Amino acid sequence: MKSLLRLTVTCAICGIVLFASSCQTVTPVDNSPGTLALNFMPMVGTRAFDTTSTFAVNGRNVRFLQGQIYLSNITLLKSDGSTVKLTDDALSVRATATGDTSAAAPISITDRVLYYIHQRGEASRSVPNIPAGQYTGVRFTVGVENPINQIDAGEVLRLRPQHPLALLSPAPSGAGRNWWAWNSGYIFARIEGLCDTSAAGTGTPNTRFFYHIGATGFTAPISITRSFEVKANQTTTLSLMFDYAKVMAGLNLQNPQERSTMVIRPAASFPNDRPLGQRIVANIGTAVSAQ
Amino acid sequence: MKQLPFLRHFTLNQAVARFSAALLLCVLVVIVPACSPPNEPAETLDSTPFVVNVPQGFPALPIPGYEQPATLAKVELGRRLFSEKLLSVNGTVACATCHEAEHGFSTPVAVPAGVFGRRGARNAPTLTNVAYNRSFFWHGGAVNLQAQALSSLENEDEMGNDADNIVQTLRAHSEYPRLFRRAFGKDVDILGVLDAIAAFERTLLSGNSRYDRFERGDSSALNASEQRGRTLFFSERTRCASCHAGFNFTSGAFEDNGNQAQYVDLGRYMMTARDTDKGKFKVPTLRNVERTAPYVHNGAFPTLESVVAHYNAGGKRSPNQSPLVKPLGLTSSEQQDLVNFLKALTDEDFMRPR
Repeated sequence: MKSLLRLTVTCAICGIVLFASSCQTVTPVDNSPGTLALNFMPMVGTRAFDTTSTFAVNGRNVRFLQGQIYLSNITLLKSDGSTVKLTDDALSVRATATGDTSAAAPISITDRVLYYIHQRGEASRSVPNIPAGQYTGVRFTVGVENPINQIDAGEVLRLRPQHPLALLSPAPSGAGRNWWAWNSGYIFARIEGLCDTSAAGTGTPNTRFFYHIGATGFTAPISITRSFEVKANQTTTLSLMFDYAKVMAGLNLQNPQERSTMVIRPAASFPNDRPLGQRIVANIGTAVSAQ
Repeated sequence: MKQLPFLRHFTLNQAVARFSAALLLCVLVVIVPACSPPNEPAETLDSTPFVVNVPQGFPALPIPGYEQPATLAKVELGRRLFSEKLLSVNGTVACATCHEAEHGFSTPVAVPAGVFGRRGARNAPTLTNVAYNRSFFWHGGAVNLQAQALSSLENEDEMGNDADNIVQTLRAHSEYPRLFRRAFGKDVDILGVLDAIAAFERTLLSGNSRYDRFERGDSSALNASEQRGRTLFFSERTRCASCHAGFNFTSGAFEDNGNQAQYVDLGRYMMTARDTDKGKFKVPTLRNVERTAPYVHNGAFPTLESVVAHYNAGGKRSPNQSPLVKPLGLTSSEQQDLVNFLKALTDEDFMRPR
């Protein structure tokens, strides 16, 4: 009887020891990537952008109708000093090189281009496969550089209809075309709305303004310092704010010359388009901040 | 009245009456629908290929790899759309309004008006052999036929419309939905509109002028003056053929031929932002040039004589003027020979209505 009891206790002890040891699992390090939700939040000063409210911009009432922005060349800065360029599945399209009259040659675009349509509430874009780790900031370009700006958006539409560089056709309601067929380039920032041009500026906005910024030399580099961590298999949100009031800083909306620009319009007929476009590009450089 | 066993609740007359009514009902239910016209079958894709007759000595037509082969249905749809004023915002302007067949698919106006009488700043280019162009518009801003068409459809100085509106208009039309299904096997969409127009434009081939016949061995095709002009044209003395080169009389390059003393229109610069491109425009073909007056990017030269005189004088000495444009020292007689040769580049057959 005693032997049996002893045996039982021994087995029980062994069992407990085995069980306990099996609970001491070694958790492997998870190097899986995470997802980055890059928010590009439209603001007008301290207020959220929308298309129904009246805002005071440069001392007069304004209502926004469109705010469409391209971001490209997006690079995350890691705390160890390395960088992570955001990429996409390769898109092979033809590009007409500047000044080159030979047949267009295809290029492979792997850059992750993001297109925000603020008047439709599209202010967040998710990018997968971001290496997990600590980050200190982000750099990007408002607009797209050559040769990406020299591709045919119609060809992209045929190949990858959902790609941000695909021609918007038919144009979804509330979104204007994002590509100049006439001058073969993307509209990096398309800002439209109504303003009040009365002396007081406090009336109902009813005079159109539009700024279509694009063409070689009209991109804006942005650099933001912001700490964030990307965790394996999780989505991290990085919120940036884009202030339309700052984009329009210094513009006199009572002056017709400052109410519109399409950078690529003929200079003979629209001599102010490029200078105004340059002013707006400079403003864009100051309009982005981290939330 | 004898009662039938299975109809013992009815008299014979009542049974006959009920049977007749039932029979009539059956007839109505079965036969009347059969007499109704059947539903029309949906239009299906017509893949009958369109065979392009490329003129002798011309290279193969360049067609992007992503485009499907030309079909009769596509070309015919494109031909109709080319003349379709409904593509403009107010239904008054078609492609053919500024690109008239009898004028080499240009128009005899310096700067033609679009919708509401609006005008841009440039002359309507000829569509002679447009399929071979590597870029479109005077400054080469459009990368293919489709982009060019889209731009003109939406330009407020031309047709003033937008893709969404064009698609809705064509979808509501009594014929276009059927024509699109025949051409593309799908509903109307903007890419279909542009592809059909491009397919039609690729048929605008011109290679049967008297010059061509002369080159193919018919020595009587050019008279003496025209032959002298031909010699001058291809001579080192004039170097006309340096820019107006090859089978289509254009290098496709962007040049400043010195027609603006001050740059009012910056031309190619608008695409490249390079100062050396200011005032440069795409070299146009000279085929059918007799019929495509007025000349240069803004139609500033009304006649071929005035153009030849301009080159003979050596241009207006603009900053980016091509070094090939310099005083030529041609006599009046030689200038006339050159003009006569240029007129021999006319292909009458090309100018027929489409």
